[in-house]
Amino acid sequence: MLGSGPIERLHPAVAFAFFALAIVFGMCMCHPAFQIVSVAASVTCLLVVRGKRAWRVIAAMVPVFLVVALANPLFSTMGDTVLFTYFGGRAYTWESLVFGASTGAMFVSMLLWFASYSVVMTSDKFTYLFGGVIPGLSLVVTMALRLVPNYQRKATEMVTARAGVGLMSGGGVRERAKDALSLLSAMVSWALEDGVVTADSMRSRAYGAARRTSFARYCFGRYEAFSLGVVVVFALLSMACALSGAASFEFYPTIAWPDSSLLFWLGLASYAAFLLFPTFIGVKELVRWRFFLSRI
Amino acid sequence: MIWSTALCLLLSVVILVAGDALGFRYCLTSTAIVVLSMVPFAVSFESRRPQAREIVVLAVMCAIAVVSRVVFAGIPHVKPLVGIVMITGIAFGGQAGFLTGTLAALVSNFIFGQGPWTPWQMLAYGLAGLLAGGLARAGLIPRGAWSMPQRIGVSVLGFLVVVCMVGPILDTCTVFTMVSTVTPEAALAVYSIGFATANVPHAIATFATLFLVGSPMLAKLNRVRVKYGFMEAGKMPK
Repeated sequence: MLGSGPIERLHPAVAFAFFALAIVFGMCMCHPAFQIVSVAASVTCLLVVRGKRAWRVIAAMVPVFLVVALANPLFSTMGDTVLFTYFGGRAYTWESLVFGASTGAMFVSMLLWFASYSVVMTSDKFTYLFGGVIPGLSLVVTMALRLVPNYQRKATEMVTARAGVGLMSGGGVRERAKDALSLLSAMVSWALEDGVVTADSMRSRAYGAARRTSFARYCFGRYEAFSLGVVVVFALLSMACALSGAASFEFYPTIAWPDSSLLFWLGLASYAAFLLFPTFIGVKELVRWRFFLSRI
Repeated sequence: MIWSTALCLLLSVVILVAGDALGFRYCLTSTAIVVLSMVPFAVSFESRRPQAREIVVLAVMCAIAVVSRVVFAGIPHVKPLVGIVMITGIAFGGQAGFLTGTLAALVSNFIFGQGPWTPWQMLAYGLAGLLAGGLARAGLIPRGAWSMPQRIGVSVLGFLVVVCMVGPILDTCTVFTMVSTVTPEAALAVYSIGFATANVPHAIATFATLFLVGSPMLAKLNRVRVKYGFMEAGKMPK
Protein backbone atom coordinates (compact mmCIF):
# COMPACT_ATOMS: atom_id res chain seq x y z
CA MET A 1 0.00 0.00 0.00
CA LEU A 2 2.38 2.67 -1.19
CA GLY A 3 1.48 6.28 -0.85
CA SER A 4 -1.37 5.77 1.57
CA GLY A 5 0.18 5.80 5.01
CA PRO A 6 0.31 8.80 7.31
CA ILE A 7 4.00 9.35 6.64
CA GLU A 8 3.46 9.30 2.89
CA ARG A 9 0.73 11.89 3.34
CA LEU A 10 3.09 14.32 5.06
CA HIS A 11 3.80 17.54 3.23
CA PRO A 12 6.92 17.09 1.02
CA ALA A 13 8.69 19.93 2.81
CA VAL A 14 8.17 18.27 6.20
CA ALA A 15 9.19 14.84 4.92
CA PHE A 16 12.27 16.17 3.13
CA ALA A 17 13.34 18.27 6.12
CA PHE A 18 12.97 15.26 8.38
CA PHE A 19 15.00 12.87 6.24
CA ALA A 20 17.67 15.44 5.40
CA LEU A 21 18.13 16.28 9.09
CA ALA A 22 18.01 12.62 10.15
CA ILE A 23 20.69 11.63 7.62
CA VAL A 24 22.96 14.64 8.18
CA PHE A 25 22.70 14.50 11.99
CA GLY A 26 23.20 10.75 11.85
CA MET A 27 26.58 11.42 10.24
CA CYS A 28 27.50 13.96 12.97
CA MET A 29 26.60 12.07 16.15
CA CYS A 30 29.52 10.02 17.41
CA HIS A 31 28.15 8.80 20.74
CA PRO A 32 27.05 5.14 20.60
CA ALA A 33 23.82 5.89 22.50
CA PHE A 34 22.81 8.42 19.85
CA GLN A 35 23.71 5.97 17.11
CA ILE A 36 21.65 3.19 18.68
CA VAL A 37 18.69 5.57 18.84
CA SER A 38 19.19 6.39 15.15
CA VAL A 39 19.35 2.72 14.13
CA ALA A 40 16.28 1.85 16.21
CA ALA A 41 14.30 4.81 14.87
CA SER A 42 15.25 4.10 11.26
CA VAL A 43 14.19 0.45 11.69
CA THR A 44 10.80 1.38 13.16
CA CYS A 45 10.29 4.08 10.53
CA LEU A 46 10.94 1.61 7.73
CA LEU A 47 8.61 -0.90 9.38
CA VAL A 48 5.85 1.70 9.53
CA VAL A 49 6.44 2.75 5.92
CA ARG A 50 6.88 -0.66 4.29
CA GLY A 51 5.28 -3.09 6.71
CA LYS A 52 6.45 -6.69 6.71
CA ARG A 53 8.51 -6.28 3.56
CA ALA A 54 10.89 -4.06 5.53
CA TRP A 55 12.34 -7.10 7.32
CA ARG A 56 14.17 -8.23 4.19
CA VAL A 57 15.92 -4.87 3.92
CA ILE A 58 16.70 -4.85 7.63
CA ALA A 59 18.11 -8.38 7.49
CA ALA A 60 20.35 -7.36 4.59
CA MET A 61 21.88 -4.70 6.85
CA VAL A 62 23.33 -7.26 9.27
CA PRO A 63 26.18 -8.44 6.99
CA VAL A 64 26.88 -4.83 5.97
CA PHE A 65 27.22 -3.89 9.62
CA LEU A 66 29.46 -6.88 10.34
CA VAL A 67 31.78 -6.18 7.40
CA VAL A 68 32.23 -2.53 8.34
CA ALA A 69 32.72 -3.35 12.03
CA LEU A 70 35.07 -6.31 11.65
CA ALA A 71 37.20 -4.70 8.93
CA ASN A 72 38.23 -1.64 10.94
CA PRO A 73 40.68 -3.37 13.34
CA LEU A 74 42.47 -4.79 10.28
CA PHE A 75 43.41 -1.27 9.24
CA SER A 76 43.68 0.44 12.57
CA THR A 77 45.72 -0.95 15.44
CA MET A 78 44.96 1.94 17.76
CA GLY A 79 43.61 1.09 21.18
CA ASP A 80 45.09 -0.56 24.26
CA THR A 81 42.98 -3.69 24.68
CA VAL A 82 44.41 -6.34 22.37
CA LEU A 83 41.93 -9.11 21.61
CA PHE A 84 44.39 -11.29 19.68
CA THR A 85 47.37 -10.93 17.39
CA TYR A 86 47.87 -12.24 13.88
CA PHE A 87 50.48 -12.10 11.09
CA GLY A 88 53.12 -12.42 13.76
CA GLY A 89 52.24 -9.63 16.14
CA ARG A 90 49.74 -7.31 14.43
CA ALA A 91 47.15 -6.44 17.06
CA TYR A 92 43.40 -6.73 16.67
CA THR A 93 42.09 -4.32 19.27
CA TRP A 94 38.78 -4.05 21.06
CA GLU A 95 38.70 -0.25 20.70
CA SER A 96 39.08 -0.42 16.93
CA LEU A 97 36.34 -3.02 16.78
CA VAL A 98 33.99 -0.76 18.75
CA PHE A 99 34.89 2.21 16.56
CA GLY A 100 34.19 0.07 13.48
CA ALA A 101 30.85 -0.96 14.98
CA SER A 102 30.07 2.71 15.53
CA THR A 103 30.76 3.49 11.87
CA GLY A 104 28.76 0.42 10.87
CA ALA A 105 25.78 1.58 12.92
CA MET A 106 26.02 5.01 11.35
CA PHE A 107 26.21 3.57 7.84
CA VAL A 108 23.37 1.12 8.40
CA SER A 109 21.07 3.75 9.86
CA MET A 110 21.88 6.02 6.93
CA LEU A 111 20.95 3.26 4.46
CA LEU A 112 17.73 2.56 6.36
CA TRP A 113 16.78 6.25 6.38
CA PHE A 114 17.39 6.31 2.65
CA ALA A 115 15.21 3.21 2.24
CA SER A 116 12.32 5.02 3.94
CA TYR A 117 13.13 8.19 2.02
CA SER A 118 12.82 6.33 -1.30
CA VAL A 119 9.32 5.20 -0.40
CA VAL A 120 8.10 8.46 1.10
CA MET A 121 9.77 11.04 -1.15
CA THR A 122 8.47 9.81 -4.49
CA SER A 123 9.70 11.60 -7.59
CA ASP A 124 6.58 13.75 -7.85
CA LYS A 125 7.15 15.09 -4.34
CA PHE A 126 10.79 15.72 -5.20
CA THR A 127 9.87 17.74 -8.27
CA TYR A 128 7.07 19.47 -6.35
CA LEU A 129 9.59 20.62 -3.79
CA PHE A 130 12.35 21.63 -6.19
CA GLY A 131 10.22 22.83 -9.10
CA GLY A 132 10.51 26.37 -7.78
CA VAL A 133 14.28 26.37 -7.22
CA ILE A 134 15.43 24.48 -10.31
CA PRO A 135 12.42 24.58 -12.66
CA GLY A 136 14.32 23.51 -15.79
CA LEU A 137 16.19 20.61 -14.26
CA SER A 138 13.21 19.31 -12.32
CA LEU A 139 11.19 19.36 -15.53
CA VAL A 140 13.95 17.29 -17.17
CA VAL A 141 13.70 14.81 -14.28
CA THR A 142 9.91 14.66 -14.54
CA MET A 143 10.01 14.10 -18.29
CA ALA A 144 12.78 11.50 -18.08
CA LEU A 145 10.85 9.58 -15.44
CA ARG A 146 7.89 9.44 -17.77
CA LEU A 147 10.00 8.56 -20.82
CA VAL A 148 11.69 5.53 -19.23
CA PRO A 149 8.58 3.29 -19.13
CA ASN A 150 7.43 4.87 -22.39
CA TYR A 151 10.64 3.75 -24.16
CA GLN A 152 10.42 0.29 -22.68
CA ARG A 153 6.89 -0.05 -24.09
CA LYS A 154 7.99 1.31 -27.45
CA ALA A 155 10.90 -1.13 -27.61
CA THR A 156 8.52 -4.06 -27.03
CA GLU A 157 6.29 -2.74 -29.83
CA MET A 158 9.25 -2.49 -32.18
CA VAL A 159 10.40 -6.01 -31.37
CA THR A 160 6.89 -7.35 -32.07
CA ALA A 161 6.65 -5.43 -35.32
CA ARG A 162 10.07 -6.58 -36.50
CA ALA A 163 9.29 -10.17 -35.59
CA GLY A 164 6.05 -9.86 -37.56
CA VAL A 165 7.88 -9.07 -40.80
CA GLY A 166 10.44 -11.81 -40.24
CA LEU A 167 13.27 -9.76 -38.79
CA MET A 168 14.57 -10.44 -35.27
CA SER A 169 15.29 -13.95 -36.44
CA GLY A 170 17.39 -14.73 -33.40
CA GLY A 171 20.15 -17.08 -34.50
CA GLY A 172 23.76 -16.57 -33.52
CA VAL A 173 25.27 -13.93 -31.29
CA ARG A 174 26.30 -11.87 -34.32
CA GLU A 175 22.79 -11.87 -35.74
CA ARG A 176 21.24 -10.94 -32.46
CA ALA A 177 23.74 -8.15 -31.86
CA LYS A 178 22.87 -6.77 -35.31
CA ASP A 179 19.16 -6.93 -34.48
CA ALA A 180 19.76 -5.18 -31.18
CA LEU A 181 21.75 -2.43 -32.92
CA SER A 182 19.09 -1.71 -35.53
CA LEU A 183 16.49 -1.73 -32.78
CA LEU A 184 18.54 0.75 -30.80
CA SER A 185 19.06 3.03 -33.76
CA ALA A 186 15.35 3.00 -34.58
CA MET A 187 14.64 3.68 -30.93
CA VAL A 188 17.02 6.66 -30.74
CA SER A 189 15.66 8.21 -33.95
CA TRP A 190 12.10 7.80 -32.80
CA ALA A 191 12.88 9.15 -29.34
CA LEU A 192 14.54 12.28 -30.69
CA GLU A 193 11.90 12.97 -33.34
CA ASP A 194 9.23 12.47 -30.72
CA GLY A 195 11.13 14.82 -28.43
CA VAL A 196 11.23 17.55 -31.07
CA VAL A 197 7.47 17.25 -31.53
CA THR A 198 7.06 17.51 -27.76
CA ALA A 199 9.29 20.56 -27.63
CA ASP A 200 7.42 22.32 -30.45
CA SER A 201 4.17 21.49 -28.73
CA MET A 202 5.51 22.93 -25.49
CA ARG A 203 6.63 26.08 -27.24
CA SER A 204 3.29 26.61 -28.93
CA ARG A 205 1.66 26.24 -25.52
CA ALA A 206 3.86 29.03 -24.17
CA TYR A 207 6.35 27.00 -22.14
CA GLY A 208 8.38 29.29 -19.92
CA ALA A 209 5.83 32.11 -20.00
CA ALA A 210 4.91 31.73 -16.36
CA ARG A 211 5.85 29.87 -13.21
CA ARG A 212 5.11 26.17 -13.55
CA THR A 213 2.55 24.52 -11.35
CA SER A 214 2.81 20.91 -10.24
CA PHE A 215 0.52 17.96 -10.60
CA ALA A 216 0.10 17.27 -6.92
CA ARG A 217 -1.04 19.99 -4.59
CA TYR A 218 -0.17 20.01 -0.95
CA CYS A 219 -1.48 22.43 1.56
CA PHE A 220 0.86 23.84 4.16
CA GLY A 221 -1.50 24.42 7.05
CA ARG A 222 -1.33 24.45 10.81
CA TYR A 223 -0.68 20.68 11.10
CA GLU A 224 2.23 20.91 8.66
CA ALA A 225 3.71 23.90 10.44
CA PHE A 226 3.37 22.08 13.75
CA SER A 227 5.04 18.90 12.42
CA LEU A 228 7.87 20.85 10.84
CA GLY A 229 8.28 22.74 14.10
CA VAL A 230 8.47 19.53 16.16
CA VAL A 231 11.08 18.05 13.81
CA VAL A 232 13.26 21.15 13.59
CA VAL A 233 13.08 22.13 17.27
CA PHE A 234 13.94 18.67 18.62
CA ALA A 235 16.64 18.22 15.99
CA LEU A 236 18.29 21.52 16.82
CA LEU A 237 18.00 20.87 20.54
CA SER A 238 19.77 17.53 20.20
CA MET A 239 22.43 19.11 18.00
CA ALA A 240 22.98 21.92 20.51
CA CYS A 241 23.49 19.38 23.31
CA ALA A 242 25.88 17.38 21.12
CA LEU A 243 27.89 20.45 20.14
CA SER A 244 28.15 21.54 23.78
CA GLY A 245 30.27 18.44 24.33
CA ALA A 246 27.73 16.50 26.37
CA ALA A 247 27.69 13.72 23.80
CA SER A 248 31.41 13.40 23.17
CA PHE A 249 32.87 9.95 23.34
CA GLU A 250 36.46 8.73 23.36
CA PHE A 251 37.30 5.48 21.60
CA TYR A 252 41.08 5.68 21.92
CA PRO A 253 43.30 4.76 23.66
CA THR A 254 40.65 3.10 25.84
CA ILE A 255 36.90 3.47 25.63
CA ALA A 256 35.82 6.17 28.01
CA TRP A 257 32.17 6.66 28.85
CA PRO A 258 31.89 10.28 29.87
CA ASP A 259 29.70 10.97 32.89
CA SER A 260 26.15 11.25 31.69
CA SER A 261 25.16 14.79 32.50
CA LEU A 262 21.65 16.19 32.45
CA LEU A 263 22.53 17.83 29.13
CA PHE A 264 23.40 14.43 27.69
CA TRP A 265 20.03 12.95 28.64
CA LEU A 266 18.25 16.04 27.33
CA GLY A 267 20.09 15.70 24.02
CA LEU A 268 19.38 11.99 23.77
CA ALA A 269 15.70 12.47 24.60
CA SER A 270 15.23 15.21 22.03
CA TYR A 271 17.17 13.18 19.44
CA ALA A 272 14.79 10.28 20.06
CA ALA A 273 11.76 12.57 19.92
CA PHE A 274 12.98 14.00 16.62
CA LEU A 275 13.80 10.65 14.98
CA LEU A 276 10.73 8.82 16.24
CA PHE A 277 8.38 11.51 14.92
CA PRO A 278 7.34 9.62 11.74
CA THR A 279 7.06 6.35 13.69
CA PHE A 280 4.87 8.16 16.18
CA ILE A 281 2.42 9.51 13.62
CA GLY A 282 2.39 6.12 11.86
CA VAL A 283 1.66 4.17 15.03
CA LYS A 284 -0.85 6.77 16.21
CA GLU A 285 -2.82 6.32 12.99
CA LEU A 286 -2.66 2.54 13.33
CA VAL A 287 -3.94 2.61 16.91
CA ARG A 288 -6.72 4.98 15.94
CA TRP A 289 -7.74 2.71 13.08
CA ARG A 290 -7.83 -0.34 15.32
CA PHE A 291 -9.82 1.60 17.89
CA PHE A 292 -12.46 2.65 15.37
CA LEU A 293 -12.62 -0.88 13.97
CA SER A 294 -13.18 -2.25 17.44
CA ARG A 295 -16.21 0.01 17.92
CA ILE A 296 -17.99 -1.15 14.78
CA MET B 1 28.26 31.10 -13.16
CA ILE B 2 31.39 32.84 -11.85
CA TRP B 3 29.61 34.05 -8.72
CA SER B 4 28.04 30.71 -7.99
CA THR B 5 31.37 28.95 -8.55
CA ALA B 6 33.17 31.35 -6.23
CA LEU B 7 30.45 31.05 -3.61
CA CYS B 8 30.48 27.25 -3.78
CA LEU B 9 34.27 27.16 -3.53
CA LEU B 10 34.13 29.44 -0.50
CA LEU B 11 31.39 27.32 1.09
CA SER B 12 33.43 24.17 0.43
CA VAL B 13 36.40 25.66 2.25
CA VAL B 14 34.15 26.71 5.15
CA ILE B 15 32.67 23.22 5.37
CA LEU B 16 36.12 21.66 5.22
CA VAL B 17 37.46 23.85 8.01
CA ALA B 18 34.32 23.59 10.16
CA GLY B 19 34.10 19.82 9.65
CA ASP B 20 37.71 19.48 10.72
CA ALA B 21 37.29 21.76 13.72
CA LEU B 22 34.11 20.05 14.94
CA GLY B 23 35.54 16.60 14.29
CA PHE B 24 32.78 15.51 11.90
CA ARG B 25 33.24 12.28 10.03
CA TYR B 26 34.54 12.59 6.51
CA CYS B 27 31.35 11.33 4.87
CA LEU B 28 29.39 14.44 5.79
CA THR B 29 32.07 16.92 4.71
CA SER B 30 32.93 15.12 1.50
CA THR B 31 29.30 14.60 0.43
CA ALA B 32 28.52 18.26 1.11
CA ILE B 33 31.44 19.30 -1.09
CA VAL B 34 30.37 16.89 -3.84
CA VAL B 35 26.87 18.38 -3.81
CA LEU B 36 28.28 21.92 -3.85
CA SER B 37 30.50 21.11 -6.81
CA MET B 38 27.42 20.47 -8.96
CA VAL B 39 25.60 23.65 -7.98
CA PRO B 40 27.37 25.98 -10.46
CA PHE B 41 26.28 23.77 -13.37
CA ALA B 42 22.68 23.88 -12.19
CA VAL B 43 22.84 27.65 -11.67
CA SER B 44 24.32 28.23 -15.10
CA PHE B 45 21.66 26.05 -16.74
CA GLU B 46 18.75 27.61 -14.90
CA SER B 47 19.92 31.22 -15.16
CA ARG B 48 19.79 31.24 -18.94
CA ARG B 49 16.17 30.06 -18.90
CA PRO B 50 16.56 26.96 -21.09
CA GLN B 51 14.40 26.57 -24.17
CA ALA B 52 11.85 23.77 -24.49
CA ARG B 53 14.05 21.95 -27.02
CA GLU B 54 17.07 21.86 -24.74
CA ILE B 55 14.96 20.53 -21.89
CA VAL B 56 13.38 17.86 -24.05
CA VAL B 57 16.66 16.72 -25.58
CA LEU B 58 18.23 16.43 -22.11
CA ALA B 59 15.21 14.45 -20.90
CA VAL B 60 15.37 12.16 -23.95
CA MET B 61 19.11 11.48 -23.59
CA CYS B 62 18.73 11.01 -19.86
CA ALA B 63 15.86 8.55 -20.37
CA ILE B 64 17.83 6.61 -23.01
CA ALA B 65 20.77 6.36 -20.60
CA VAL B 66 18.49 5.21 -17.77
CA VAL B 67 16.72 2.66 -19.97
CA SER B 68 20.11 1.28 -20.97
CA ARG B 69 20.84 0.72 -17.28
CA VAL B 70 17.38 -0.71 -16.54
CA VAL B 71 17.37 -3.13 -19.49
CA PHE B 72 20.60 -4.75 -18.38
CA ALA B 73 19.89 -4.52 -14.64
CA GLY B 74 19.60 -8.32 -14.43
CA ILE B 75 23.10 -8.91 -15.76
CA PRO B 76 25.72 -7.68 -13.28
CA HIS B 77 28.24 -5.09 -14.47
CA VAL B 78 26.63 -4.52 -17.87
CA LYS B 79 26.10 -0.80 -17.42
CA PRO B 80 26.09 1.12 -20.70
CA LEU B 81 25.03 4.34 -18.94
CA VAL B 82 28.44 6.02 -18.90
CA GLY B 83 28.96 5.21 -22.59
CA ILE B 84 25.64 6.80 -23.53
CA VAL B 85 26.41 9.86 -21.40
CA MET B 86 29.76 10.24 -23.15
CA ILE B 87 28.10 10.01 -26.56
CA THR B 88 25.68 12.75 -25.48
CA GLY B 89 28.61 14.91 -24.44
CA ILE B 90 30.33 14.35 -27.77
CA ALA B 91 27.22 15.18 -29.78
CA PHE B 92 25.72 18.03 -27.76
CA GLY B 93 28.65 19.51 -25.83
CA GLY B 94 30.09 19.34 -22.36
CA GLN B 95 27.29 21.00 -20.43
CA ALA B 96 24.63 18.78 -21.99
CA GLY B 97 26.86 15.78 -21.25
CA PHE B 98 27.32 16.82 -17.64
CA LEU B 99 23.64 17.43 -17.03
CA THR B 100 22.64 14.20 -18.77
CA GLY B 101 25.08 12.27 -16.58
CA THR B 102 23.98 13.83 -13.29
CA LEU B 103 20.28 13.60 -14.03
CA ALA B 104 20.56 10.06 -15.39
CA ALA B 105 22.18 9.04 -12.10
CA LEU B 106 19.45 10.77 -10.11
CA VAL B 107 16.59 9.37 -12.21
CA SER B 108 17.94 5.83 -12.30
CA ASN B 109 18.24 5.91 -8.51
CA PHE B 110 14.53 6.68 -8.28
CA ILE B 111 14.24 3.17 -9.75
CA PHE B 112 17.20 1.44 -8.08
CA GLY B 113 17.06 3.26 -4.74
CA GLN B 114 18.60 6.49 -3.50
CA GLY B 115 21.48 6.32 -1.06
CA PRO B 116 24.60 8.10 0.11
CA TRP B 117 26.06 7.15 -3.27
CA THR B 118 23.57 9.27 -5.26
CA PRO B 119 25.54 12.58 -5.23
CA TRP B 120 28.79 10.75 -5.98
CA GLN B 121 27.27 8.90 -8.92
CA MET B 122 25.78 12.14 -10.20
CA LEU B 123 29.17 13.84 -10.08
CA ALA B 124 31.07 10.88 -11.57
CA TYR B 125 28.71 10.33 -14.52
CA GLY B 126 28.39 14.07 -15.07
CA LEU B 127 32.17 14.50 -15.26
CA ALA B 128 32.39 11.69 -17.80
CA GLY B 129 29.94 13.59 -20.03
CA LEU B 130 31.72 16.88 -19.43
CA LEU B 131 35.10 15.38 -20.30
CA ALA B 132 33.82 13.76 -23.49
CA GLY B 133 32.17 17.01 -24.51
CA GLY B 134 35.33 19.01 -23.80
CA LEU B 135 37.51 16.63 -25.80
CA ALA B 136 35.04 16.73 -28.70
CA ARG B 137 35.03 20.51 -28.67
CA ALA B 138 38.84 20.54 -28.66
CA GLY B 139 38.64 18.37 -31.77
CA LEU B 140 40.19 15.33 -30.12
CA ILE B 141 37.05 13.23 -30.57
CA PRO B 142 35.45 13.43 -34.02
CA ARG B 143 31.77 14.39 -33.99
CA GLY B 144 31.03 12.67 -37.31
CA ALA B 145 31.28 9.04 -38.31
CA TRP B 146 34.22 7.22 -36.76
CA SER B 147 36.76 5.21 -38.71
CA MET B 148 37.89 1.91 -37.20
CA PRO B 149 40.99 3.36 -35.44
CA GLN B 150 38.91 6.23 -34.13
CA ARG B 151 36.29 3.81 -32.87
CA ILE B 152 38.94 1.88 -31.00
CA GLY B 153 40.50 5.10 -29.72
CA VAL B 154 37.27 6.51 -28.31
CA SER B 155 36.34 3.15 -26.78
CA VAL B 156 39.74 2.93 -25.07
CA LEU B 157 39.19 6.47 -23.82
CA GLY B 158 35.84 5.37 -22.38
CA PHE B 159 37.57 2.45 -20.69
CA LEU B 160 40.17 4.78 -19.17
CA VAL B 161 37.57 7.34 -18.08
CA VAL B 162 35.77 4.66 -16.05
CA VAL B 163 38.92 3.09 -14.62
CA CYS B 164 40.67 6.36 -13.79
CA MET B 165 37.83 8.72 -12.94
CA VAL B 166 34.29 7.37 -12.60
CA GLY B 167 35.28 4.26 -10.66
CA PRO B 168 37.68 5.98 -8.25
CA ILE B 169 35.06 8.68 -7.49
CA LEU B 170 32.55 5.97 -6.56
CA ASP B 171 35.22 4.18 -4.51
CA THR B 172 35.97 7.44 -2.70
CA CYS B 173 32.33 7.43 -1.61
CA THR B 174 32.90 3.95 -0.17
CA VAL B 175 36.09 5.09 1.57
CA PHE B 176 34.38 8.03 3.23
CA THR B 177 31.12 6.32 4.19
CA MET B 178 32.16 2.77 5.09
CA VAL B 179 35.74 2.96 6.31
CA SER B 180 36.00 3.93 9.97
CA THR B 181 39.67 4.84 10.13
CA VAL B 182 40.77 6.37 6.85
CA THR B 183 44.38 5.27 6.52
CA PRO B 184 46.39 4.89 3.31
CA GLU B 185 46.22 1.09 3.61
CA ALA B 186 42.44 1.07 4.12
CA ALA B 187 41.93 3.42 1.18
CA LEU B 188 44.26 1.33 -0.98
CA ALA B 189 42.32 -1.81 -0.06
CA VAL B 190 38.99 -0.22 -1.03
CA TYR B 191 40.37 1.17 -4.29
CA SER B 192 41.90 -2.14 -5.31
CA ILE B 193 38.79 -4.15 -4.43
CA GLY B 194 36.70 -1.61 -6.33
CA PHE B 195 39.10 -1.75 -9.29
CA ALA B 196 38.98 -5.51 -9.58
CA THR B 197 35.33 -6.22 -8.81
CA ALA B 198 33.46 -3.22 -10.17
CA ASN B 199 35.53 -0.77 -12.18
CA VAL B 200 37.13 -3.10 -14.72
CA PRO B 201 33.82 -4.81 -15.62
CA HIS B 202 32.15 -1.39 -15.75
CA ALA B 203 34.95 -0.10 -17.98
CA ILE B 204 34.60 -3.09 -20.30
CA ALA B 205 30.87 -2.39 -20.57
CA THR B 206 31.64 1.24 -21.43
CA PHE B 207 34.23 0.15 -24.00
CA ALA B 208 31.69 -2.20 -25.60
CA THR B 209 28.97 0.47 -25.61
CA LEU B 210 31.18 3.05 -27.29
CA PHE B 211 32.60 0.51 -29.74
CA LEU B 212 29.28 -0.98 -30.82
CA VAL B 213 26.80 1.87 -30.38
CA GLY B 214 28.96 5.00 -30.47
CA SER B 215 29.23 5.69 -34.17
CA PRO B 216 25.66 4.76 -35.20
CA MET B 217 24.15 6.67 -32.31
CA LEU B 218 26.28 9.72 -33.00
CA ALA B 219 25.04 9.64 -36.59
CA LYS B 220 21.45 9.67 -35.32
CA LEU B 221 22.11 12.55 -32.94
CA ASN B 222 23.90 14.53 -35.64
CA ARG B 223 21.10 13.93 -38.08
CA VAL B 224 18.53 15.31 -35.66
CA ARG B 225 20.81 18.18 -34.74
CA VAL B 226 21.27 19.20 -38.35
CA LYS B 227 17.65 18.60 -39.25
CA TYR B 228 16.26 20.79 -36.50
CA GLY B 229 19.31 22.96 -35.91
CA PHE B 230 19.44 22.85 -32.15
CA MET B 231 21.89 22.09 -29.36
CA GLU B 232 24.75 23.04 -31.63
CA ALA B 233 27.85 22.67 -29.57
CA GLY B 234 29.10 26.05 -30.76
CA LYS B 235 25.95 27.76 -29.60
CA MET B 236 25.85 26.17 -26.17
CA PRO B 237 26.80 28.86 -23.67
CA LYS B 238 29.79 28.11 -21.51
